[in-house]
Amino acid sequence: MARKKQNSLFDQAKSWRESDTAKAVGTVLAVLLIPASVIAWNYLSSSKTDIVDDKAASTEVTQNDENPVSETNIEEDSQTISETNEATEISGIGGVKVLPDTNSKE
Amino acid sequence: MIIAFFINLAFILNSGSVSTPVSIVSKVPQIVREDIPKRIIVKSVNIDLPVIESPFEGGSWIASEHFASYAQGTSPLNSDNGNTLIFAHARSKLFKPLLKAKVGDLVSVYSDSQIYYYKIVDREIVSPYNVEAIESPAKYKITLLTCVGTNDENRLLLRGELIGLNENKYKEVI
Repeated sequence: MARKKQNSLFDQAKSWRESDTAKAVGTVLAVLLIPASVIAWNYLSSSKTDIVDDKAASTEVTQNDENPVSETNIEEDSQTISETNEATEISGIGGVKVLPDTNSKE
Repeated sequence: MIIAFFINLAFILNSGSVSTPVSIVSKVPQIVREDIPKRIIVKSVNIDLPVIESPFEGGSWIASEHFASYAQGTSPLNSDNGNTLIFAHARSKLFKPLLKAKVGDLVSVYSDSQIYYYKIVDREIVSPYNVEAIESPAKYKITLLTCVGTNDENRLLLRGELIGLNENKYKEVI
């Protein structure tokens, strides 16, 4: 008896699956769920990046808030870094002959 | 279904193009602006001094007579690697009290925008010609230097490691 009932339910599901309604529902799910999951994935990935950014920013300067970053800014900043590194190499530790004289004569 | 496929494809491509600039922004260089030390406090030994920049000349730096000096060419405070060198004469109103500083003491260094907190992790006395001593092992972020010895023949180095930082809201630079 129970088996018969189970079979009839299965038959009903089978017939519903072949109906136009089932196809419509399937299409809607395909259209909505897949992009939703892609958007969610991107959102989560970008929020992870933001956390890293915040940490980096907190060890740096808060100037970024005032000036939105554009590609031009990035290029300028990269230039600043290379200039800084160059300056460090040329005039800094590399050329040091003696540590500074910090004598105690008052 | 074909239409749905193209709609999905459009979404995927679109979201990909949105995420790319985010990754570029995350790679914005560490040094946006050089954070130069302007004030140093070592509370444990009552040091609170303005810091001025000392230019690199003739193979070394000249110590200020009245303030602490930041060795130009060494790393700025917000640098990801390298070593910031701050030094001063071993005089009572300058860095002489550093002789009493111990490993574990806190050093606060102010720039125009931030306050950097360091913990002294190493104490060493070296010859003035041992210039490698101020080269930057990655874990050290700051080195304080002053003279030591009967005739100031040696240099005391206190190396500090960055343990935190704060915004310098009130621009507390002397």
